[in-house]
Amino acid sequence: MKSLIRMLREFKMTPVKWLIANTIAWLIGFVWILPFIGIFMASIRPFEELVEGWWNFASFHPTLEKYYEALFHPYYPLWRGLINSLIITVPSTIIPVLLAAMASYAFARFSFPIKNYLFLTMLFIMAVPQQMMVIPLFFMMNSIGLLDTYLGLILIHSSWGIPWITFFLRNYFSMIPKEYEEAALVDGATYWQIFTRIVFPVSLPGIISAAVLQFAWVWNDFFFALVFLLSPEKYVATRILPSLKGEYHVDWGLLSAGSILVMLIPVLLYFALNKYYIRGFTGWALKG
Amino acid sequence: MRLPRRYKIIQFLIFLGPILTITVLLYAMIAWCTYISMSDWRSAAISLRFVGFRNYADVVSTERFLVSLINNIQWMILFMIPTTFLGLVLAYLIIMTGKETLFRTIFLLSTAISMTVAGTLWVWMYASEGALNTLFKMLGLNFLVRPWISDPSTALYALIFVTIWQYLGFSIIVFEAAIKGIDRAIVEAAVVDGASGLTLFFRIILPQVKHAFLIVVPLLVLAALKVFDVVYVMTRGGPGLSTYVLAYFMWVKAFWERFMADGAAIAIIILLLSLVVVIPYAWYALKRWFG
Repeated sequence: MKSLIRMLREFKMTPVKWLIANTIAWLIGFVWILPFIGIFMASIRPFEELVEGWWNFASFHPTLEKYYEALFHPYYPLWRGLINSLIITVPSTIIPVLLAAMASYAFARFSFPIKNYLFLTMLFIMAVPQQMMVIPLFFMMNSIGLLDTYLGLILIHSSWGIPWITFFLRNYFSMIPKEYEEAALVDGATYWQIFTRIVFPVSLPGIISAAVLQFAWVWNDFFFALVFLLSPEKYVATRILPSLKGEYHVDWGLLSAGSILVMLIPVLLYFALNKYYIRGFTGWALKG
Repeated sequence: MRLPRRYKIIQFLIFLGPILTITVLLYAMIAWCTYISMSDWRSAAISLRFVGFRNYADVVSTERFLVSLINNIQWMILFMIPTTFLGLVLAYLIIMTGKETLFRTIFLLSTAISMTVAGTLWVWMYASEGALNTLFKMLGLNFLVRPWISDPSTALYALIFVTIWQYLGFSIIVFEAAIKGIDRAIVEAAVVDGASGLTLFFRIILPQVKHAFLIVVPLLVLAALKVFDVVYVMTRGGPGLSTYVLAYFMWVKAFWERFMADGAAIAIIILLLSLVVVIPYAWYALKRWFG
């Protein structure tokens, strides 16, 4: 891999081409990152300073006041939204990742008659839009008393996550060499022991990738949260943010501070687990 | 795998029980949604009398449906094509700069945040007194100054750009991984034969990253068909109907106007449109994996 890239550079690069490639990449990269810098500036500076553009530093008085206002908003306190998001997201990540890991182990290692058909049936669900699920789920959750509860939404997110995580991890598991497992099987280990002692630890990087993506997906989800959590004190962070806009007067400082707070956890997670996040995106094609 | 039969079944159930249950449940939901779409459930109280395709006929004949459908198709084309090609070109350029890690971090940042946050962020960018207009005024480009998302002629395109902004990073890294996966010998041979620059890109790189297109294009098209959050947060379908899309129309019908049956019918239509995209893709993928 490295050698191909080095070769591309050695063989093809003239100073002009290098300059063109760099200029375009930096330019677009700059445009892509600009809104983040802008919203951050808008969140720490008073509105009067922004009228001439946030890049104007003629007067500069940073303050965290708007963060305080967003967190302790009288009608839509964001701190509660953030806590609710955590209450929903943590179990909605752990449950499907564990169950899907077991299922994908079975798909990667067991052979049984309808395996491929079953796998396909499951795969199809990944193409089904969320919109298909919400009406019957709304009715079902209502009749079993789980509508407007944390548990209800956790169950929905977990079920929704299992098919894609199974698909993702099956690709990953089928790349692990079988030798250890076969040796363990000869020594009389059960599949359960093999799974918990060998497969799970060995494939931890893949499992972390899936967990990072699932966490980000649940935290960032808006539609399920909009439909299934109805009482304002249960609103998750992504649900509260649009409400901070207000009806008539828009407080941009408040809104930008809110945006920063809602994106904080997924962005930190993204920086901390960057490698796994990227593998989560590229891992789909590995066995293509 | 030489185990007693009964023992095998227990193992099987432990590992596959949960996923079997969930698969059955999700399919039951699909069936149920299909049935609801043919029922007369049009008020807060549930009612499941079978009425056939009447709801579909009602929904399809409304102006909102037609506008939504056209907007979704525009969204599909104007979102998928730039995101795919910009992604491919940028992946190539990024590899040429040799600073892949840095650029990956920059372009993937917008994929890590919620659509809701992205929408809010761009509402601020697009506002009359927002960053974008301030910037244009400063640069003397006064003809570009406009209320981007409250002007019906630009609102949809402004929203489409937000989704491009969010998905470009995804497209870039899939193509980057694909380009890096190309067999060195092929590129080397082409270089020895005198291929350079654009020829190398079009004749050698492009055909070798076909499988990346097969990941990126269907995912982007599906994303465009399901787009909801951005519309809800930024414009609520307005001004007028100018940014109405099917998923938003479905939500309004089912959870705002409480016409559950009509909402279910729209959901089924979204599913059918998705299948048009997914089936050829699944067919291809199947031949690769199991064929």
